[in-house]
Amino acid sequence: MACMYELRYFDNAATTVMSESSLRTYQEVASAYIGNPSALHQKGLEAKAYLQQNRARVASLLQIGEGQLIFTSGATEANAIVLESLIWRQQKGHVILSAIEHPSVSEFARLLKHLGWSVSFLNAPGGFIRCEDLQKALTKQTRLVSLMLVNNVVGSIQDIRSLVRTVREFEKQAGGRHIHFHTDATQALGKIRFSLSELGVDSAAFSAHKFHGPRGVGMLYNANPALENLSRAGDQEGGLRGGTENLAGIAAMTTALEEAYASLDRNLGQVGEINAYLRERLGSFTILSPSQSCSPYILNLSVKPLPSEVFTRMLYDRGFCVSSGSACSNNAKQKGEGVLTAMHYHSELAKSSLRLSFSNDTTLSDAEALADAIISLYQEHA
Amino acid sequence: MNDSTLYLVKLGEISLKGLNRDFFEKRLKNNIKHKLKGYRTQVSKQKGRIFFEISNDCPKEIIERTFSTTFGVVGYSRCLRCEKDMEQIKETARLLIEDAPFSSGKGSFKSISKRADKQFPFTSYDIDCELGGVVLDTYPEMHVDVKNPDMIITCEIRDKAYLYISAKPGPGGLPVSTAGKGMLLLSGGIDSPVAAYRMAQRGLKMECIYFHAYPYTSELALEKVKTLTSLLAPYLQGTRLHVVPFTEAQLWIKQHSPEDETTLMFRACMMKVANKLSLQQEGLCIVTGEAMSQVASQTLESLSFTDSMSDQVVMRPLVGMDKQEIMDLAKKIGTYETSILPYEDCCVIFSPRHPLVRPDKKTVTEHYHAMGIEALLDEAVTNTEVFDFGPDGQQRF
Repeated sequence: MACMYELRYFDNAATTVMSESSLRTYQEVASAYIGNPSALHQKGLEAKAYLQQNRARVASLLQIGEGQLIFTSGATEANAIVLESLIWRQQKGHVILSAIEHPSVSEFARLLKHLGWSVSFLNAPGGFIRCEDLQKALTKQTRLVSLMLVNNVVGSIQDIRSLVRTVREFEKQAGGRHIHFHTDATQALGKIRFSLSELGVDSAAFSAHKFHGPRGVGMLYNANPALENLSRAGDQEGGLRGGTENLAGIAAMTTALEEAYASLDRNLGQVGEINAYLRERLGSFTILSPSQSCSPYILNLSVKPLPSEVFTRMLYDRGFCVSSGSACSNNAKQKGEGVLTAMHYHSELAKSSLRLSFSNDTTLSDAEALADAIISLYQEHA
Repeated sequence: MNDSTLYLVKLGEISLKGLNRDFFEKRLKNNIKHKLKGYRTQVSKQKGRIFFEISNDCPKEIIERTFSTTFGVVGYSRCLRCEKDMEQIKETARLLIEDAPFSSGKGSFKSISKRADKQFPFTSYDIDCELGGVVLDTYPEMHVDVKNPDMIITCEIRDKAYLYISAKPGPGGLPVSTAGKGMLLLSGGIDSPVAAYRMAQRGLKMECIYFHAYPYTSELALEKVKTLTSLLAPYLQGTRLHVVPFTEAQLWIKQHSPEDETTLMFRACMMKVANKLSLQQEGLCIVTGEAMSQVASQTLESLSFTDSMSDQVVMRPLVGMDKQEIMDLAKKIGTYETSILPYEDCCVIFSPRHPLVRPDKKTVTEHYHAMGIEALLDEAVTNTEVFDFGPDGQQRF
């Protein structure tokens, strides 16, 4: 159905609009750097140098070594490189994931189980993975722990630092064998402050289009020299990710990330205000996003008894793009619903959950209009 | 007709008709010509057969689709025609077996001859032997098997000699429109397209009705129903899809009827609307995909109630079928894959947790009338949107 209203975008956790400067960088680099960074002629060398310059700029923002930064096609590929590396191992071990992971992580459970690995899922009551649960799940066979930094459904920020400490303490007791700790930080980068070295993770995945960069580009931070990609290709990106580098995309991502870091605190303040405003205006609804340790960029609430899919369509007809946690369906478990169940929310709340997500483009007047629409639609239909 | 190919169409049940056989044959001829519109065709009827000479600029796929989706066609084949002379027949047979499946030169075959013209000086057996000789001369590795042949070459002696190899099966039944017209309740599930196929096979022309409850059901659910309609359209010789806006009525029912009766009331209202539309479109019956006891609204008591809401006869061709049988047929006609797409045709908030399974007809009828929903249903009929689909399955604008 055609939308007759002015469009207001509240689905920034799904993807953001590319910033003007990022787009400009993309166009400029795509036409200026014609060579393949692996080529030996002058144009290739120029491209190679520019690639390394971008790597240095991003590495300095993330305060990591340049050799620890691998450009990928997105967070999905970055997650996959880490999880697939297990397939090289002769002995089948044990993996710990949370039950609130993005499918690009959790779907590997099926493959790993099929190959003979055992997989433990940690629930996240109220949105948070607990250290004691992780501690109980760790075994001598545990080879990998993958827990996300910011949850994409409700926005809860996991205490990765403590979770890593739990793993390291277990390592000591169990005889010192290193357990790889991976975190999917897609919803965190460019939005909240964090330091990879303080978190203490071995690897982390990022995606450019969540912070106003282009789609099809992302990064893997990796501090584990033993990591090996399953797919075989050229020795680009230290052999961890073969294939000709997406130089224009990488440069556009660098621009977007520098922009995001420059205005991180200001954006955080602005988005925080919007989040607080909506929490207050929509106080009569059950808010599924935690009130503490939560990214202000995501606000999840329940419009019980209306199914989220239906409410999403109603809102779109008023000009608002939001995301539904699950589909209008009795039997099919759709995205988000399983995650909310793992957070111990009642299935009625899960089936009626609505995710609003913001960016620095979101204005308070947009939020006011959204709150008005949600309240009036709810009064009309529930 | 120059630059054309001859096709033979075998008729089944139609040949058994008596004085009105001509009516069925004419309809079949017109149904086929309708699908071949835009290409030159010449038709000649003979006992139990219709011959179509189709211009060679008509693509093979269109010809295939035409014969394989037109009810009344029991079998069809490309065919060669020659004078009733044994030498010419043998020469024609040689030409014919240059094509698949004979061209492989391997396997078993059988020849069948039929003489409608008994004046022809050779017996059927004589012709069989001659044809067999031609095949074995050309492909010495082949052998005759009269019980389970891999392929068959046939010769029919009529006004001329007609030769063809391995006729393909058509969908059988009676030509669409010979039985009149009805309205099909199309939900988007597996059953209703199969019901449409079954009724079309008995010669019923149908238009489809879909109840759309946006935003409670999605635009994708409507798109899915349009796809199903386009898949059915060739079998129905083209059809129209009536999309009835049903949201207001559903909300009214939810507010004005006991929770466990809501599904029954939806069904009753759908019957009422279908009747109104059928009257408008000069239809004589309502077709549904209901099967006995499949869900709560399809128990004997429920069916008896919804039936009483229709002035027109309600056809339920699947009523005695097993779900697996229905699914198999859906796969055969090509609607299954679309039907199982996960777009619900009714939102969960309208589905009672424990629907009434054995309603008392008198009570629920009283409840229905007490709702006072007629004006809303009339409004829904007025606001119904119509989409037109041609016999080629394409939507027409």
